[in-house]
Amino acid sequence: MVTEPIDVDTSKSASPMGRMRMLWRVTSFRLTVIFISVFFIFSVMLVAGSLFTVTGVLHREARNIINDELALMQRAERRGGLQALARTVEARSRAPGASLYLLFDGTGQVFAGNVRRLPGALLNRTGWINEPFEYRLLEGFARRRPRQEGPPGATSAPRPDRVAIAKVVTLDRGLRLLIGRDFGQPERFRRIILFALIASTASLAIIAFGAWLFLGRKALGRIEKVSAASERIVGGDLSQRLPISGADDEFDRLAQSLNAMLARIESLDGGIKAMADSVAHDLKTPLTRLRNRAERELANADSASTADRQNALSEIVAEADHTIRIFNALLMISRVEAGSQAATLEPVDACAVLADIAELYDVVAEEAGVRIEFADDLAEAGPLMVRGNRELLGQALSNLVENALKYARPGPPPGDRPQDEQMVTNPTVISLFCERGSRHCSLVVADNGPGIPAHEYARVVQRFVRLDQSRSKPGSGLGLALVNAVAKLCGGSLELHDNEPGLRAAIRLPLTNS
Amino acid sequence: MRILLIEDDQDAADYLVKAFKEAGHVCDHAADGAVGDTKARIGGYDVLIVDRMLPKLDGLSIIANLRAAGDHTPAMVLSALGEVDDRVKGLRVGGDDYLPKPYAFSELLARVETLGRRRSPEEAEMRYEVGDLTLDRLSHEVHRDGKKLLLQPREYRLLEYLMKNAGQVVTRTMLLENVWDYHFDPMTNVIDVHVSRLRGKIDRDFDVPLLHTVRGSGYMLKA
Repeated sequence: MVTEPIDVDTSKSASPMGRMRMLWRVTSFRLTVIFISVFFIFSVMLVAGSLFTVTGVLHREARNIINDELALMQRAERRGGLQALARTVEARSRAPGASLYLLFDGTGQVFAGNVRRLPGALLNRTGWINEPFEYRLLEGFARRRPRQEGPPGATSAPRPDRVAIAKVVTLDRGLRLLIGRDFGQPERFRRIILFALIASTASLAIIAFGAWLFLGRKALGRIEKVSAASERIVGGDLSQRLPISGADDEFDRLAQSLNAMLARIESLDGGIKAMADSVAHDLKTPLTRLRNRAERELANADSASTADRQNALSEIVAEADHTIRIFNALLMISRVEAGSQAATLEPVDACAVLADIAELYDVVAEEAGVRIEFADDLAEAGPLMVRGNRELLGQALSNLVENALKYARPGPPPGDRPQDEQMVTNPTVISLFCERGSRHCSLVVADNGPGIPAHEYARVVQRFVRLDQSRSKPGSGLGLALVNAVAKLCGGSLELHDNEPGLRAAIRLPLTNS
Repeated sequence: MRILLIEDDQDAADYLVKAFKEAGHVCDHAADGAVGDTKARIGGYDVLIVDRMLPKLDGLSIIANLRAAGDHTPAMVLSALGEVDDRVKGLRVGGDDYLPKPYAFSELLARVETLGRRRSPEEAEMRYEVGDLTLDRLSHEVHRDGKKLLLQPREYRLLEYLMKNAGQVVTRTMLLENVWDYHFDPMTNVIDVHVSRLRGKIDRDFDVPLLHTVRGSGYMLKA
């Protein structure tokens, strides 16, 4: 992965050296240079390889021809001696497209042939001369030209040197015969290939540079746009989104996922802001009350009786306790939501926790004239094992029960049986029961109280949301938020439904395999 | 009761030392972890009160060191971190009780007194007696003045805990923790209702009340 530092602006004021370095840090430029180099190396290897092969083939062919010619000459010599040989050499020399022929002796005296000039050192060697040497034919023996008389060494119009390979054999009486084959063609071929190599590399470099100019700069431009958008976001405008070109390429996909992330951050940020506001409001209220009471008490300090003072002080302590309680609940919700207690999750019998809570609140409900019905008919089917935290589930269920108690219609106090018909037919009941599914279970707390309007379900699980606008009932508006957080921590959810009438709150949890 | 308080907040420490003294205890104070560790090793205390976050050496390490050395002096952990996992951590290293800050002094006092008494061999007692009230832990039978009282299982456990700590204040949270085994803080007066039910059974038909409400703190069973 290549990370690009997006500090394009600094390059504008940089020195040429620095600008070069900046350029090198641009991925597209770097990749272009690397690709051109790699391509060049490969084409050189390809051309060199083919050149080597082609040269080898031509070389072998030339040697075969030389060998054939030599066999011909030797046959002529065996049949008619040196005279015949010299005649054959002369005859072959005149043939169109002839090879190189030279019959000479140890002193350099030439007897026959068509070579006008060649490196003198060659005359002392015998056997194959494989490295191409420069030569010039006699005027009359020029390739594919009408024959013209002229002795070796005669001056004439200068002709370009050609190259050839040859073989020298020693004959009787110190005579030697050189037979060569023109090799001018492979040399030319080599030059063509070299030219092709240079031309192709150069054109590739130009095309690549052009492509970089077009594509690379385009990509760079998009990165700069993204960078500019990011800076605006860092600057605090979380509603900004990265630009999407619509090409549906990597850049767009990246921008889309980053935008999704930004949307999440924005919503979290909004939540935090809303919460900070609520915290400010909901903690200021009890703190203000606390302060006012303390101040009033201070003003009355001299006149108040001991009993009055004690009353006031215990009120102040109660107010402080209430504030601490809100703090604790808030802290607990945020820690549960942050998942820092995920480590404490362990197999828990959810139904047993519900039974505990039912038992704990049974007498309280009775005092309040409410009946708690706990259906433990599922107990026989074995425990409902979920991955959770007994303490947190207990707290969550107690919050639900306390809510139900708080908002339930006050029933008749025990011992004072109702005279009202409606009270008899419709007593306030809170039912607690477990529902077992194949993979999930639900811990249900249902009441037949006033309930919550369906459109408020999503809102009431937020912190500090209380539908009771007058806030006449005690509470912090944090109860359902904690239930929701606990349910999520245990991999489940809080589901609110209409109990017709009343509210049916269910903590839905996944069952463990055990 | 000799108490060692390891707490780096000087104001809180001064207040606690004074309050414990007023409650009739001797309270020694150490202002950082290292001093506290040394004092705790020297020993001679009935209860340690250890703040979790201390300079030089944290509270949990002090307790862990003591336990490793075979010292089982009851230890109360105080912490600003009041969450379930912190409590579990505190108790795992060998702390005997855990109280999140901020706390009421009455709560701390009640708990510390209970901890300090824990060393007495009351675990072996099979029978509790407070005045004319008796509780037999083998047969689970409760009698007062020779009359058998019929209690629900939870009422029995509530009474058992109150009798075990007879003569001492037990707070509502202590009852919820020890009788119901939950550590949360119920908004309503659940515990009070349970206690008043129990009171109805053990006190109503008798002249002398045994179960007393301690204002601002909790309850006490006393002859």
